[in-house]
Amino acid sequence: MNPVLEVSKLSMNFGGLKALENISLDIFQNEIVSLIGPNGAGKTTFFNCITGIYTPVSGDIFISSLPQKTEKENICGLKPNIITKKGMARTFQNIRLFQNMTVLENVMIGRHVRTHAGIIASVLKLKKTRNEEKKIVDDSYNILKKTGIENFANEKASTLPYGAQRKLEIARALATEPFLLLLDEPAAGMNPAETIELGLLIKEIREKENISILLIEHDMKFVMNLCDKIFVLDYGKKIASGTPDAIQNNPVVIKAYLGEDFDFDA
Amino acid sequence: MVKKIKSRFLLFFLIFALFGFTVFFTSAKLSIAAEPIIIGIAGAHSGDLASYGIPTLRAAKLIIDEKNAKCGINNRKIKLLAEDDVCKPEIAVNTATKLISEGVHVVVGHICSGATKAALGIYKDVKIVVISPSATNPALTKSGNYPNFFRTIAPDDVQAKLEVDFAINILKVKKIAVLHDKGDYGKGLAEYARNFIKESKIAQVVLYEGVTPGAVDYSAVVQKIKRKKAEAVIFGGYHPEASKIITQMRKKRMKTIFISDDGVKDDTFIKVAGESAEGVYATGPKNTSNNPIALKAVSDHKRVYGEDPGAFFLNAYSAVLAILNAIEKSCSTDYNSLTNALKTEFVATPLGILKFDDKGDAIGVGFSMYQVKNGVFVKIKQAL
Amino acid sequence: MFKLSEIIKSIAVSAWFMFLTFPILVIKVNTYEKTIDWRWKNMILIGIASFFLSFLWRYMLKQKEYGSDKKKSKASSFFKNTVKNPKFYTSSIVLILCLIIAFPFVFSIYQTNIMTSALMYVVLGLGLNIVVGLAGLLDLGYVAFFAVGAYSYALLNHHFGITFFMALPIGALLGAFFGILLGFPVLRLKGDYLAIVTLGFGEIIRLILENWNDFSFGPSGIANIPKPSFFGINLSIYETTTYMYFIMILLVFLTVFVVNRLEDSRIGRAWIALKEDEVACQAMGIDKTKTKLYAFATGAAWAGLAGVVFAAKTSFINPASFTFLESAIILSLIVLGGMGSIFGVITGAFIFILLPEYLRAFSDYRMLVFGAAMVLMMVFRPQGIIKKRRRFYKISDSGGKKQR
Repeated sequence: MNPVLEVSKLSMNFGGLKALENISLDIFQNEIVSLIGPNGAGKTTFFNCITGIYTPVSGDIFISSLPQKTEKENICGLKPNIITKKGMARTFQNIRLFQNMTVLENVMIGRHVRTHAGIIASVLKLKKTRNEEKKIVDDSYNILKKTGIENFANEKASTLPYGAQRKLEIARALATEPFLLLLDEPAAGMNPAETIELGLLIKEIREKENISILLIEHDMKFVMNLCDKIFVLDYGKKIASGTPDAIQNNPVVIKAYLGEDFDFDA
Repeated sequence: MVKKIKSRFLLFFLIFALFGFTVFFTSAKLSIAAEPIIIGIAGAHSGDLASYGIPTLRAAKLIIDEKNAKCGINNRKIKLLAEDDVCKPEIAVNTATKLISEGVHVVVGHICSGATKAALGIYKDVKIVVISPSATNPALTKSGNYPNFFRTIAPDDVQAKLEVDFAINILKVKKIAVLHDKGDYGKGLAEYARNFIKESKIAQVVLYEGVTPGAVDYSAVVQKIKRKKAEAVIFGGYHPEASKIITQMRKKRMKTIFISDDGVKDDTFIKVAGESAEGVYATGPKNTSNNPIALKAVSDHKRVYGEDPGAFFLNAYSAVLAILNAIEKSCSTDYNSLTNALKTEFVATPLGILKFDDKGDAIGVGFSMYQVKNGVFVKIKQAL
Repeated sequence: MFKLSEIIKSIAVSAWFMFLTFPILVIKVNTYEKTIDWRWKNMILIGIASFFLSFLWRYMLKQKEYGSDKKKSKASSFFKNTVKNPKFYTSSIVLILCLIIAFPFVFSIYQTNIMTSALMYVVLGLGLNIVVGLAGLLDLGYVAFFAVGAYSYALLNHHFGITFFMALPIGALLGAFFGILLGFPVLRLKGDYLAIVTLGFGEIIRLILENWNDFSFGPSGIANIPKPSFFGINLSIYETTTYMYFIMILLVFLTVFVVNRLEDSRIGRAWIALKEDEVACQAMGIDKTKTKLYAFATGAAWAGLAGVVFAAKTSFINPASFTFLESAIILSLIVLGGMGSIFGVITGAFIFILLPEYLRAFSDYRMLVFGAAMVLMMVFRPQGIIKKRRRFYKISDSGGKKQR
């Protein structure tokens, strides 16, 4: 079985700064994988590289959306919208919702990539287009229900409480029908109760939707409880990988985190 | 959503109704007048080119006040309706429709050629005679498209011809630079000048170029004139650009002859250009300042407005006199009799005794060449 | 009642105004008699007026900051209740339709004519609204497409005798084509940079028209552009004006219909998303390039359409009608009316185009009055007259069902 995402020897430079150096990792079907590391380790850069916002200097990114399919597809250097179309959706560390649109509309934007109506069809509003529109609304509402924020459907996105905004980002990403969901610090700024709820949501997404998840997170308790596998980055290099238990006891990882006054049991 | 659409509709409706009322009340008061003869005065009364339009308005006011003091024409009072077109074609269309919806019998205007072209079609449809003191585009009369159009100013090509003939035959220059301000008026004139020079086969056009109106620095084009060794410059355009170009030429100690048009033959030009203006040639309407009617018109203007009249004042004065004369002679404001009267009846005006040819140009109105001498425009004797 | 500090403030304001207006309103040089009139009375009037107006100004500002919430809710609830009544709704629509149809027969040809102008600007405004209001691409060269439409009719008619109704779709298509042409080089630009480039584009088109004599007849323009014919019958000027008015009414209905449909469609949502956040938009799988080009093309098509009507209405066009000022007016009417809102744009166009015409009575002061009205508007209601509101979807749990 192929991994759904296989990154090999990915490097990224900003001027002379090596932001990422020969990073390799792979994620298999239905895994929840976490990417951790101190601030400035290159986690978000890594996300930006594999979602097409940056073009990596070297390396390959393979995806195979169907595990039984033998051939892999290299998506390195493609545009972000094409990568999303191929089935990788992401959220942002600093929430990037469409602030002045309603919650439902935000999710409907996610459906854009799976629907087809063009300008002329939209103007004429043929039966096909009408049905598609109706389906977009239905599907989007169902996704809102799944993420538990359907009560806000007609509110403006900017008026949502913080936790709900994070969830809306996830809902919007889910609407693009991904096989791999990339979450950039989904629990940042949440209170403990909200964090637990988020953990349950992520697990549910994996179980019900068969979606693999790669997430960046600083909340170690959250990561250790949730993830099957952890990759650790420091100064643009992968310094460790393995199960949560292995990582917790890895001396290299502890050393990398020492400067930050870190406690894995926090 | 129903509610939202509804409330928007209501708001929309209220605004619409508000406009409706305004329109109603502004138009209600118009329907009463029918007795007097209504003369529409259209032209630029505000904006950049107002100085070309306001003299016409004043000329009309002076004449009409005088006539009305003596029980008008054919015992009908004359009413004046002034409308501003800012010299823009699209506004001129509105102005024209406004005038005809207010029932004007004749129109004096418009001032600019472009605006006149746009408005003429409308007047033509409702058979209203239009007489312009300043629209000089040749096509207005020569194309034959507008039988309702007359003017008391000679068209551009006459002026361009005079400039070219003067340069070639009297000044005996061989190399001429033709410049223009890219405007309708200036460029049209320059094109004619260029063609006349080519046809003459005596002189040649060494430079043909447009300058950007309103710019501060014209040294690039001045340099080109110098490099091409032009003996004379013919400039089509208005005085703001002309004064800057001549100043910059004289600063570079170039003695190139500068010939321009009636857009430049304005005292403002001398005021702005100062000493550099000395020796500049400009064509202008034939000087008729000894004409008793012209003297009276100018002194009336000074008495009422406290200053010298502006551009096209005498042309406008003549236009108003001509049209009133036509109305008086034909005893009506009917289109056919009016055009007939304009073409057959002579009228004494500040520009001399006039009538109009079949195309609508005034016979006997022409241009003379002037030169700046000691800070004033002086008519050149050896004119053609 | 008034605090001392406020009175001092107002005195300062009035002193400042007296100083500012001193050269224009107090000193008058009589050039004929070469004397100077000192009109001290004007100065006193200005002082008193600005003293009281400054109180009013501050009061209004305060009202805007504190009191507006309360008042608004009261007023709008009354408003809603009245509007909720379906009888009122249908009757008002019928009334509007009657007004629209009756307009040219009740009012003079002049009123009809300027109403046609205003309607033309409605179409222009709605077109630019797609680009600026929906997709958030600040386009300062919009008038270029208007010129393309106008010249395409004028030139095609001049050379090939193409009629008005044939020119309408051609103008729209050419407009769209030029929209795409402009779209390509500016795809990567945003905000200020985009504005500058589009501004340049608008000027380029105008300069080409001005200087390429063989093609466009230069600054002397094209005259005698025929008005639309009515099944080959020759119409008088009154009938043509009415005819143009109804053509324009139909075009406005078409525009409102299309723009309304687009706004609530997949493409329309993509435009709004693009305006909100480009990066997130791309991450959601929206093709930035395509979406932007769509916006430029559809927006420009309406300008092309309006251009054809403009050429037919004016019967004479020259490049001087397509200056930057025109773009600025179209943009301002959108901003004034309410960016992104169809009804806002319509209201804005009516105010912007009709008000200066009706203010002709004030002749010399009309632009002053108009400018002051604009400033007040932007101070007290910066979001525009009618604010864009998001669509409300009503969904029952049994499945999505949206209601209008």
